[in-house]
Amino acid sequence: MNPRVRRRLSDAAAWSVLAVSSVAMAAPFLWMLATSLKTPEEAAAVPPTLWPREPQWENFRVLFTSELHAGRMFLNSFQVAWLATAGTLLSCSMAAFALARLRFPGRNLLFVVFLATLMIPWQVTWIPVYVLMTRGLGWKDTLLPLWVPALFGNGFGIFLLRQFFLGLPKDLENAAVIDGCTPLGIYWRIALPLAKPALVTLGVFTFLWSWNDLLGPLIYLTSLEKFPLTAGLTFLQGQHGGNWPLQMAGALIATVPVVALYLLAQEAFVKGITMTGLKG
Amino acid sequence: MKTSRLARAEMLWGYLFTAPAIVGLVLFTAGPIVAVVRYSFCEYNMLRPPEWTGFANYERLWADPLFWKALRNTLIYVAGTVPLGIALALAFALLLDRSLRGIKLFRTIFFLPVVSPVVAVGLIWSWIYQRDTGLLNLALGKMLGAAGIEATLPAWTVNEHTAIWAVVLMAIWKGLGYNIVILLAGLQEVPRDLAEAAEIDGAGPWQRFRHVTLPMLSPTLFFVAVIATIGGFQVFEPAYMLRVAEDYNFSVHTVVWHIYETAFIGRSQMGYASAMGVVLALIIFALTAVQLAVQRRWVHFR
Repeated sequence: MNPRVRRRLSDAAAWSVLAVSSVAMAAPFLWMLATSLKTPEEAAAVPPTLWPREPQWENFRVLFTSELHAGRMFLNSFQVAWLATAGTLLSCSMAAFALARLRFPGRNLLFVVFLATLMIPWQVTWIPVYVLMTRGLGWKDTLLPLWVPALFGNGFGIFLLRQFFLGLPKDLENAAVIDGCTPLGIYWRIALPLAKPALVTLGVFTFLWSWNDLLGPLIYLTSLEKFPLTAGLTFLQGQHGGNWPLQMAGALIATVPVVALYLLAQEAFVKGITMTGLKG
Repeated sequence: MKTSRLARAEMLWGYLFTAPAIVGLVLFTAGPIVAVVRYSFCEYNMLRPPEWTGFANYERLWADPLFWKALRNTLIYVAGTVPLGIALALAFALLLDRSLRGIKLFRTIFFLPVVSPVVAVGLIWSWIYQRDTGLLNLALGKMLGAAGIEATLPAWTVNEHTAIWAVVLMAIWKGLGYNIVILLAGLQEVPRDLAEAAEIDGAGPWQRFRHVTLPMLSPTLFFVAVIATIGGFQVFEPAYMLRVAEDYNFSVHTVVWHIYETAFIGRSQMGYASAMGVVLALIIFALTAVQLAVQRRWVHFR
């Protein structure tokens, strides 16, 4: 067979496999969407209806108005996620800037220690940090343990941003120093604006981790009005276990913001993963 | 004189800029590491001060059937998600590496589960796994029916033998896009001219894959395997979300879940939970060391 024809055939085969697989990959999401708009009776129908006969927006209204208060949960999720993101960006960029662009004794040792923290599984520090937060600081049933640690940097963020700052040309600072700029000025007015792509990458990942986190809310929070969406959904699972449309509506509310964020910042996600193996 | 003043100022700024991260290092990493080792040799319920009990927690761990059950489930999870997840990701990465119409849309769809909250994903899959009304059994039933096979399909998350595999399947679906992205980046590094040269020499597609792509991709595959194994040992949420009430067999109980229950549910047995945390960390360190040693034998570094 002629190589060009063979190439075309193999491309067509690859395309078909990908098309079928994409439908299979997307099916759970589509099923969530369809179920979220059904009545419980229609959801249980065999054979199932592919699309709701009459969309039940009522399911979403129940989520937002009943004791579940999805709106409040949404705001809790949002508050924690943006505070954690802002804190991480500030603390990590400061440390990364110093480690990449300033000379001071102990700098290299410090970087090695930050790198080493990446090897520590979080289960090791989990219990003592919980003791510190609850017994030490009295922060049980507050949102504070979920974002305050972000103000103190983390190995991933420092590593990612340091790599970026190292790549900036050296003359920038020399010119700035001659103009009488302090390191603070160089950091704030020159380095940070230039680091925008790396900051976006770290930012979207931090937001995602924080928004999707279940374990933190599960161990620190006890009252329903403080729950973010993730903890709220496990509550929903316990209270309305048989009501699948309601559960799917809840899952949809929790998924839409992060999917939107991903679609907006797709490049940043892919770069973050390929550069450092950041986990989604 | 002037330069030294400048150097001193730079030093001061250096410490000032790293100060929050250093405080964080002490408060949230170094301090807790010391504390967790100490707690693991104590009885500690957060009401009274820790009381030294020597190796009692570790002896209890050795004899705790629930810990072994949790470790067994965790091992099944790792053994299920790592090889299967990576093999599937490699197959799809090879397909997605072509320039085809709509390739960007395909890549986007494969990545969607990665960014979705595991809690939402867990709810969706619990629904899909329902015995009589779930999408999976409806589809399987239809296929089996078409083949003329009469079979009773299980409630995947309730049956004690299938429950952990239900978690594995969901986790593979959720993690596939992540592995694909890393493997795609690895495939970009494989020099095109090498495969073309092999093609001119008469190598077929399988031979090109086996002798050119695979060796060149091995560092990336290795990286993905290490990340997936470490992540697999830390699994909690996927299993927790697929739990069913009154599961007396603890069929999806994992090690992290066991730590969670011991420390945060009921009596706060912080000492015992700390011992489990230490053991889990040691398992993860040992595995990483083994993988790094094995890597020399089969990974082809450029």
